Amino acid sequence: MNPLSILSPSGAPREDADPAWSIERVTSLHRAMVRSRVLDRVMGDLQRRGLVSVFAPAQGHEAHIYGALIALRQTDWLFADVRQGAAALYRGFDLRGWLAQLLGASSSAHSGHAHPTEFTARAVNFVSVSSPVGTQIIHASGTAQGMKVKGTQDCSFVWFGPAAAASGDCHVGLNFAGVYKVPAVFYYASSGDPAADEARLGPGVFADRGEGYGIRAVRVDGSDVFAVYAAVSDAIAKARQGHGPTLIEGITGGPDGTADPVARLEGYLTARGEDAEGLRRTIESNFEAEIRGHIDDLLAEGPPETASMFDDVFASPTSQLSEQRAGLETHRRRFAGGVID
Amino acid sequence: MPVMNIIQAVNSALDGALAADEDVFVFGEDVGRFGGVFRATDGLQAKHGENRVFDTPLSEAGIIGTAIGMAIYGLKPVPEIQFSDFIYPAFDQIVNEMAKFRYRSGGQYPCGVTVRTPFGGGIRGGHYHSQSPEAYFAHTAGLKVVVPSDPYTAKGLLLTAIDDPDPVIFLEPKRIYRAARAEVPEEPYRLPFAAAVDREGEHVSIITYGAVLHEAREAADLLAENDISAEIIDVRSLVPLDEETILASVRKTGRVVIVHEAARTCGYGAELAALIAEKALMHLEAPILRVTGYDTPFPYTLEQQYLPDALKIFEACETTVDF
Repeated sequence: MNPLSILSPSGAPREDADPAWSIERVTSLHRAMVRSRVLDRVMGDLQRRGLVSVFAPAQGHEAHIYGALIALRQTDWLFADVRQGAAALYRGFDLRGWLAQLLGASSSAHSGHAHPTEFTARAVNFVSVSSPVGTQIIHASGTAQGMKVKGTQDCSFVWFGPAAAASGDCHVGLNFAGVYKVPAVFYYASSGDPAADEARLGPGVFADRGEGYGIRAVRVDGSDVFAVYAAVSDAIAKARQGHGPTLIEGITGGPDGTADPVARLEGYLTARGEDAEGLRRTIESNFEAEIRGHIDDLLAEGPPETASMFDDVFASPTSQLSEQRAGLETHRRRFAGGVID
Repeated sequence: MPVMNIIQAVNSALDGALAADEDVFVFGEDVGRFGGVFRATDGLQAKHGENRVFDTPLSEAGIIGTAIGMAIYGLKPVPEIQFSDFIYPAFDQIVNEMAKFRYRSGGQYPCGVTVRTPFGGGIRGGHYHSQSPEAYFAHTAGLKVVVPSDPYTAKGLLLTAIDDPDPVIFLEPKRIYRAARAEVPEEPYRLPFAAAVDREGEHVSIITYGAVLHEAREAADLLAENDISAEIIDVRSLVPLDEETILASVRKTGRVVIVHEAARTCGYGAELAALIAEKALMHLEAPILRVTGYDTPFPYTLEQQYLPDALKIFEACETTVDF
């Protein structure tokens, strides 16, 4: 199975496949990809400073993420792995609220309940991310089954990587999706290190597994945002028409930079007469300043209220939870100044 | 009022829930066309359609993961795990996903799944058709754990579980699926997730749930013949736990025997004993005793010796009264 490819490494489109979008559409896509890279850099910095315990960068995966997002509708549900958190921002989730979740700040939507990579953004149909990788593959199938039974035109879309692909839940999710022919797209993104992937998944072509589940499968050059867009658009159209799920294998470029999705799109922009580097620099400096402004505010917030630890275990707390909350609050009041009377 | 067994009561509850709310879905292994290995879903697919009541592949993680995907989408799935002994392949989905969705999303994604599963021994099922796994789930924040003891509680508690916006592990006492018969209203009704005084007594409180409640009743009859008046508390809901009904009984009798089928160490009885020690110590006249399964895998041939029965409960009550 040859990977679908549209842009050459230098960014020249195949003549028969140039999407020929308006320049505004292409620069908006470029902006999202560059912003993703800025987030990676700033989060890496915060991690080194000990302000964020963990962050999974999206570098090298931008085509997987934004090529898919522009092919999807806002009403399609996103099931992400840990690398695609910024997809919620692309869909309009507010940056400050997103950073609040990342920092576990008191103003975060979950009061600091979740780990930095476990974003939730229901307002934009971004399902909360779970650290046990692969679990979301079954959820995506289940939600899509619900969408199908309820007669909507919506689909679910799930990203996962080689670690999740080796999990039992990946097999189970694909099996259920094949059995019920659900409107879902399963997007596997390789790591960019073929030897490491082979150590996890063996020497076979991942997309070939689709056939065993009766699921259509395609491979795509994962450094080529136009190719990802084309593959996802086709898969989503088939899902909406009732033709069931698709498995997409997105092949991530190597770490040597020869297959950098942002550079490739910039090559395309340059060929269309845009100052790609100038655009990038403007986005970088503006966005970094915006992020850092929010972070300073969020760090000044202080930790969430003690009581919030007990929120959202259930719709309403059990008497045991209420008692435990009161006990902790009493204890903290008494010992606010240490063991002195 | 019709007389039903537990299977019929469960079927009646599911039938009513499916009819009342098009967002309710019932599924699991052999649940659809065949109607379930215990027949609890008999006739429901024919009545409510293959989209609402359906068979699944043999994969517990798939059944629960599918239910989670539906629940976060706003539907009300009621999956069946054919025997609770087979629930462990879904343990990660239950503990790390179903139980945590609400918490990790700050309430944005409630996960109202009702997992029905038969539990307990006494059916010559060996260790893979007899287990009582309630303590694993009661120990997991975010799960409710409910155990009916007869047809009336089975229907009323199941309908409450399906309404509940949070995930519920609904453990059905399969040994008495057909043996326990009672009057059950045809129409839907709901029972609170709360304990009930099953029988009033003066001298000792037997605190129990599930199929062994019936052993406790038999023990109470034997005790009565020996001038010991036993009160029986049917816990019904392990999470949330109705502490007040339990503690009121302890304050009244001063003596406690806790009975469950699950193995003793870290069983739910340990939690009940700790609760009573913390909140009613000065009312106790004797040590709290437990009649439970043993810390062995569930045995095949000797299952009747493994299980708590009326004589073991009788002996424990006698011991605590004589203390």
